[in-house]
Amino acid sequence: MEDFLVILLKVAAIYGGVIGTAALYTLAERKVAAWIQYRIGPNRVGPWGLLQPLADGVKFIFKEELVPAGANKLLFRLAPMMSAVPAMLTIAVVPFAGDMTLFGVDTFGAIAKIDMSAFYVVAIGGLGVYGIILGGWSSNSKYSLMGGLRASAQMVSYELSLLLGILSIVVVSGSADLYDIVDAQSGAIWRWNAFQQPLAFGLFVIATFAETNRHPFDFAECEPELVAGFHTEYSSMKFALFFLGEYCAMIVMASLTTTFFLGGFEVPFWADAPWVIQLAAFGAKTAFFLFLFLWVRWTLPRFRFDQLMSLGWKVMLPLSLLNVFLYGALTSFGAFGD
Amino acid sequence: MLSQYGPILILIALVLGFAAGNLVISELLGKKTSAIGKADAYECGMGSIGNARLRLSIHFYLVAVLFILFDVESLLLIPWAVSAKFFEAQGVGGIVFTEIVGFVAVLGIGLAYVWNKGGLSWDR
Amino acid sequence: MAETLFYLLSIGAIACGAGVIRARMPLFSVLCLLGAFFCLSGIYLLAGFQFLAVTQLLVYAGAIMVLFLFVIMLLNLGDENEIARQSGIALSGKQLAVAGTSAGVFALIGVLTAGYGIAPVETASTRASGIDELQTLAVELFSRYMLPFEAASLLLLLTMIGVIAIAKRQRAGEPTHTGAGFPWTKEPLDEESTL
Repeated sequence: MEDFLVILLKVAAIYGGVIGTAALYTLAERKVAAWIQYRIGPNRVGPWGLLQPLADGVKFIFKEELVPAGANKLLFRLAPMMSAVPAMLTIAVVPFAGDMTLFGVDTFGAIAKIDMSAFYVVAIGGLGVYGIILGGWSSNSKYSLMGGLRASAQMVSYELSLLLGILSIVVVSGSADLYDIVDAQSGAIWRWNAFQQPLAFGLFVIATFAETNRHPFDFAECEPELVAGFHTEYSSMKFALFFLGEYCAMIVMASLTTTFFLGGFEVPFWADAPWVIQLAAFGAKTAFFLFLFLWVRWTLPRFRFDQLMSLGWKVMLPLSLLNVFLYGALTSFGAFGD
Repeated sequence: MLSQYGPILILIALVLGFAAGNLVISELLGKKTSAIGKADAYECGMGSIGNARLRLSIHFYLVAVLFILFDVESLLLIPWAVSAKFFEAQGVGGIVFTEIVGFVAVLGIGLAYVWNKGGLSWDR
Repeated sequence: MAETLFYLLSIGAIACGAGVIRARMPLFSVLCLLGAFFCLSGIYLLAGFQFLAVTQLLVYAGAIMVLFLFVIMLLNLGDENEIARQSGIALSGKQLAVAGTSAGVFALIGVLTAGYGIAPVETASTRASGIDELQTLAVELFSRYMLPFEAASLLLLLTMIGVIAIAKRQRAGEPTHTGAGFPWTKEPLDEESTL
């Protein structure tokens, strides 16, 4: 019974934490944009505008639901859910901290610890593409359709690089369990996969930008060409769900980059740190990647769509394959035999 | 198996409840008004022209099939990736790696062929 | 608990399967198929096959269904009114009777042979963990089934050639694009891309 309560507590805490972070992240996006452009940003609701996300949420709830004429009513309502739910489900296996004891129950700092967690995230996260295609298609608007299709072609193209990057990490770690992958990077800081596999690190980070439809690859909502892309016709909470899903996906991707390449929750040179410190270390590393998403968005110009597809298929895919080969050969001939 | 995946079931219930709840609440609380042209698809203020169910480019088909192929390839590499260290410890790392090289080399040839035919270029 | 889940997932899979053939819009068929794949991967998990479950989600639900969606939109089968008028498989009473009888026969065969052939399935649920399962699979795949494994790559290669043959069909009078796209061949000027 206590076990069950602890599990419930963990699920609620992690899910609540991620949703809360996503809400604050929307504020951070506007604040960072403002700072980069030498403005102030939202500062009216609460101290430093901290309650802005809450105000936005309330406003979204009371906004009018608009279903465009000729739209497929059922799919139009389902699409935001199909976009947000997979992103929120991927947080289930992210290891936020190591072993811990809560109320006398020995447990670990993730919702679930499964053997194939490294591939679970790709398998579930990849399903987010349906929400975008269907959202774009069911709106009965040309902009939406084009945005949705572009985004889906982009997401499947870059999912390969993501998968191959994970594969090369798994080869070296010898396990597909995220906890084992983190373990393999414990101890000295140069044991982090970012230093062991710099090429895979670079490719993975680029692929996370494309997977989450973020700048410079945000063709799903390419404003100058497609108004707002696949969610042009969406309003109120349905619109908010698309965004919540996108921000959750970004948080998950940042967490995964941390887990795969920056040693996850491990504190360098302090193998058995208490879980609170591990959680803080994880948060700090993830925050860097979250900031990177914003920094890049307000700094770089956007790609052109054919350039994006060329980059994905002609550069990222061959390089990812080569990288898997390289580390496969090193592992197979005993270079990592420790 | 159930003890491993049980918490995910709880999360699924929570996430579905959260998403559906949000949609239902805003559907109930949001105001409803109607006006001429309000439900039209947005096309920069002008009346919508034609049907939005466009036929799409053959490129999307090409990309989807290529994605499946490389997805299957990565998937077949997963058993090897997980056990590469095990094979190395058993002293058969080189042999198994040669098999992998043979497998991926054939697909590499395929990629080069598609590339040569212009299948990877979006604009033609 | 596991048994209840199994029955729930089975009912879900069957209902989704029925939805696939009953749906009037091709798009809903695809969504129903997606639901069926979900239920199936849940059943695989209950039986202890984690790799199979991930395969189901990654390849079938993640990749093949995207292709189906694209093809449906490619052929412009999306318009609901159009489809409702044209096809929409409405099963007649006779067809339903045939389908029901054959399903019943299969169920009967399944029940009658339950004691004989499915021993491996029973032992599967007692496997220790997914990694052991994967390692066993890898050992088998790279020793006894080495040839089929290599042949699979040939099959994938053939698919690649096939898809190029379909998608890049030359029309009379069009210039060939062989060699285009490689970085070392001189590219013609970029045209405005459509989507």
